[in-house]
Amino acid sequence: MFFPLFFKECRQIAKSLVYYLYLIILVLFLTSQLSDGDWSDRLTEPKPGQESYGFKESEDETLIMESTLAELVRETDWNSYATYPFMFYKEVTLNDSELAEIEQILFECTGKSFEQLLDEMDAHFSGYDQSTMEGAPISGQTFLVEPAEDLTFEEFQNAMKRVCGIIGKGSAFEPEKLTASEPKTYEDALEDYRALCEKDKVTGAYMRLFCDYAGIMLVILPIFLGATRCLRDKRADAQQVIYARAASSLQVVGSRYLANLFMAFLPVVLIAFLLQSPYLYLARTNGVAPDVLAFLKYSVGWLLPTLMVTLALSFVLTELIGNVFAVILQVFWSFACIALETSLVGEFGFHLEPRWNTVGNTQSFFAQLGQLAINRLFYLLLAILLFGLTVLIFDRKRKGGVFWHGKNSKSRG
Amino acid sequence: METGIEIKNLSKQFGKKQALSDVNLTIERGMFGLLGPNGAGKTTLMKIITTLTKKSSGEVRICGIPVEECKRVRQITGYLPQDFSMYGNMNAYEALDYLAVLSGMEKEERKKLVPEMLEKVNLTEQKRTKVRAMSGGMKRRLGIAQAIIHNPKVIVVDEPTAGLDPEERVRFRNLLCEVAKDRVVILSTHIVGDIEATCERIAVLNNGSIIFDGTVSGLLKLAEGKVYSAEVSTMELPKLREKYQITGMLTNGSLTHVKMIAQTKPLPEAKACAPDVEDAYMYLMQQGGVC
Amino acid sequence: MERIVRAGVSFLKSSYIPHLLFTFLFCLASGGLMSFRNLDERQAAQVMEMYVTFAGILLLTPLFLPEGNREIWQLEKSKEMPMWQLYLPRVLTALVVMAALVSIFPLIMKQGGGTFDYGRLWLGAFVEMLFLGSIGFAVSAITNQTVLGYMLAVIYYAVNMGGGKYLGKFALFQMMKGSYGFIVPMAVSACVLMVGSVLLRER
Repeated sequence: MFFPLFFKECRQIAKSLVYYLYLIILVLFLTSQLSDGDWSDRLTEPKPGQESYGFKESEDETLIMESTLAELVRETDWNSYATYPFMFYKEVTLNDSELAEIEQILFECTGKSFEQLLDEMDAHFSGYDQSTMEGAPISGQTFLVEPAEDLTFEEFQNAMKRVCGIIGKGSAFEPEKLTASEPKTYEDALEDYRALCEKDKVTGAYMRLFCDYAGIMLVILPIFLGATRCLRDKRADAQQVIYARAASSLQVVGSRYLANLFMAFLPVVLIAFLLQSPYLYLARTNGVAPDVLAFLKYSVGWLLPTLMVTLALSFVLTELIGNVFAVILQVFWSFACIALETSLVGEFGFHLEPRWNTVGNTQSFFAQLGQLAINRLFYLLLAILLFGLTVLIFDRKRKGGVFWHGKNSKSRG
Repeated sequence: METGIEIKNLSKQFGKKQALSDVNLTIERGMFGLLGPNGAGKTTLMKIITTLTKKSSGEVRICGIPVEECKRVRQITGYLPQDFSMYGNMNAYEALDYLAVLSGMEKEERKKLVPEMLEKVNLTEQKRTKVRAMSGGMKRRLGIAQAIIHNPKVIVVDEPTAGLDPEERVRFRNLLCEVAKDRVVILSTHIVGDIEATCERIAVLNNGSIIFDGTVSGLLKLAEGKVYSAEVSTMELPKLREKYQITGMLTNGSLTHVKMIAQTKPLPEAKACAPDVEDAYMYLMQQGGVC
Repeated sequence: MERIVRAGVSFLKSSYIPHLLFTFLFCLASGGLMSFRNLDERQAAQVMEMYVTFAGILLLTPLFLPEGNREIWQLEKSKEMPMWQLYLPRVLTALVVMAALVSIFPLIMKQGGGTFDYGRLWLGAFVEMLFLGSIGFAVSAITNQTVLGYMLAVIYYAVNMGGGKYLGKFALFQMMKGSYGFIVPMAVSACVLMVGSVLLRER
C-alpha cells in the first residue's frame, strides 16, 4: 500500500501550482545568487609577496582589545549599535547621557578623549581608499585603537561588561564574544590552499557556499508545500472518505510527507549537481582530483535535515491548526531562524540553517565539522519527532478527536 | 455475530448535548433503514460505526469486532458520507483508484476492479471527467463505487439519494439492493420513499433515542386505523391543518383530496385508508415516539 | 449602503478577527525586537520598512478566505449584490487598519526622540505596505488559494531582504537608502494589481 500511495502523491505534487512556484523560485534564487560570484581566484595557489592573503581569527589579547575598542569608537561615532537580544537583529541608539558614559569608558580604556579617538580614526581612513559598500569601509588596513599601557585584559573585559549594561544584551562587546582578525601570512594562505585541494577537493568548498544559499530557501519554501498538502483534504471535503479508509495514519501521512520531501529535495540535488560541474572542470585544470560526489554529500548531510524539519513542522502545524494560520506562524519562525544567525561563516550551534557564506576556509570548517554533525543530527531527530507528532494528530482527528472548541463541528443528524 | 452489527447501550455526548442516548440495535444482513428527522443522531451513529467518532459509552461490535479496533473495522466497512467529495483535479478513475489504494487493494486487483466498479455505477464514459466537473448524481455514484470497491461486509450510506433526480434515485436504490444481498447495508435517510423501496427492517431515531425498531410492516401496523382520507373544500384546508397532521394532498379545482392522521374519524365524510410508511412515520413522530 | 456594511461586519466576525488579532500581536512583538529611541530618518525607515510593512501581507492576503470554498463563492455570485460590493468593505477595513498602524508606529518613534519627516515616512510606509499586501491579495484573488498568496508575498519580501537588485522602483526598503522615488510607481501598481485581480477573478 505504501509505495502506490507514495507514487500517487508524487504525481499529484507534480501537477500542483505551488510546486511549480517552488521550483521557479528555487532555481531563480540559486542561479541569481551563485552565478555572480567568480571564485576561481580562491582556487589558485598563493604566491609569495602578494599584497594580501586575507584574514584569520586571532586570539592575541592585545589585538582583541585594539580591534574591539576601534569597533566601539566606530559605533559610538554613528550612535548605532548592532545587538541580537532575542537572537533577532536590533539596532540600538543611545541618548546623550548614555553616550557620555560610553565615552568615559573609552577614556578609561585608552587614556584619550573621544574627540582624540575620532581624529585618529579620520586620520587613519583619510590615508586609504574611502569607498564604502553600504557603510562598511573596504580599505585594506584595519583601524585599531591602542589601549592604555596599564590596561589588563581582565579590566578590559569588565569595562566591556559596563558597555553591555548600557547598550543592552546581544552586542558584540559581550566578553564571551570578543574577537579579532589578523592578516594571514603566505604560509597560512598556502596551508589553506592545500587543505582546499586535499580535504575539500575543490568541489566541497564550493558546495558549502551552495548549501549556504540553498538553506535560506529551504527554511521558507517547503512551508507552502506542506501546508498545501495538509489543507487539501479540507478544501476538497474529502476528509471523511479518507479517514474511513483501512490505510493506517502512518501510511497516509508517511506517504504524503515522504513524497513532498522527495519532490522538494530532488531539484535541490539536481541544481547542486549542475552548479558543481564548472568546478569539476576548474579542479582538473588545476591538477586537482575533485570530489565528484560533493554535491550529493553536502545536499544530503547539510540541506536535507533543514528541509525535513521545515516540512515536518509545516505538516504538524497545519494538521493541528487546520487553516492558513499555520503558514503565517511558520513564516515568522523561519524569518526568526534566519535572523538568528550571528555569523555568516560557521558557529553552527543549533541554528536551523548552518551558514558558510564563503568559498574555502577549509581548515576552519573541518575544525567545526563535529559541531555541524551534532547540529544536523539534532534537526534530523527533531524532524522525525515532528513527523511522529503529525501522525498522532492525524490519527486522533480520524477517530473524531478535535483540537478546537471541544465540539465536533460536523455533528449532524 | 459474524455478519452484522450489535449495538448495546450506546451513548454519545458532545459537551452538554446528548447526541445518542442508550441506543440498542441489532442489524443483520440485508438492507437496514435508519430514519429520523434532522438532528436525531443518525449521522453520529453512522460515524461511530465507521470509527470516525468515538462513543461515550456502550458497546458496538461490527461483525464481532469491537469498534475500538479501528483498523480491523475499517477493513470491513465502506462509508458513503452525506457530503461526499474528492480532490477536484482527479478524474473518476484516479479518485477511485486512490481510494482503493487507501483500502489496501493491490495493483492487479485494482486494475481489474476499478473499471468494473465504474461500469457498475455507470461512470465508464465519465472515467476521465474530473471530480470538480461532475454533477451531483455522478459524484454520488462515484461515492457508492468507492464504498463498495474493496468488498466490505458492512456498507454505511448516509443520505445517498439527496439531490438526485427520480431516475437516478431508482437506479441507486437498485444498486444498493443488489449489494445488500450478502452484506449489511445501513441506509440513513429522511427520504421515506428510499426506505419503502428497499428496506425490510428499519429503526427510527429521534432526539438521540430509538423510538422504533422493527420491520416496515410493523411500523405500518402502528398507524393502522389512524390514517384517513377525505375530499374537502380548498377553503377548509387551513382549518384542517390546524387540527390534524396532513400527510398528503391533491388539489383539483375547488376541491382537495387530503390524507391525514387522526386518532378517530376527523370528518363525517372521511374514510380510513391503509397507511404508507410516510404516514406511519409521521404518526410515530406525532406520538412522541411511544410505540 | 447598509447592505455593504452588513456584508463587511459579517466578514469581520466570521473570518477576519483572528487575522486582526494576529496582526495586533505581531505589532506588540515589535517592542522586543526593535528599538524606538532616538531614531534618525534612516533608522525610522528601517523600522517601518523591515517590520511594519509586513503587516500588509497579514491584512490583505486573507480577504478572499471565505470564497476558498467554491460553492460559497458561487452562491454569493448568484445573488443580486455585485461581488465588488462584497469585497469593498473588506478592503476598506484592511486599509483603515494599515493606516492606523502606519500612523501609530511613527508616533511612538517620535515620542522616543526620533528625528524624521513624519508625513513622508507615513506615505512611503503606507504605499510599501499596500504594495506588498497587494501581491498576496492579487495571487489569492486569481488562484483562489490563500496559501499561494502568502507564498508569493513572503518570497517577494525575502528576496528584497537579500538585495532586490533587479527590482528597480519596485524594490522594498528604499526609504532606508534615502530614496522616495518608489512611491508613485508602487502606489499605481498596487491599485492596478488589486483592481485587476478582482476583475480577472470575477470573469
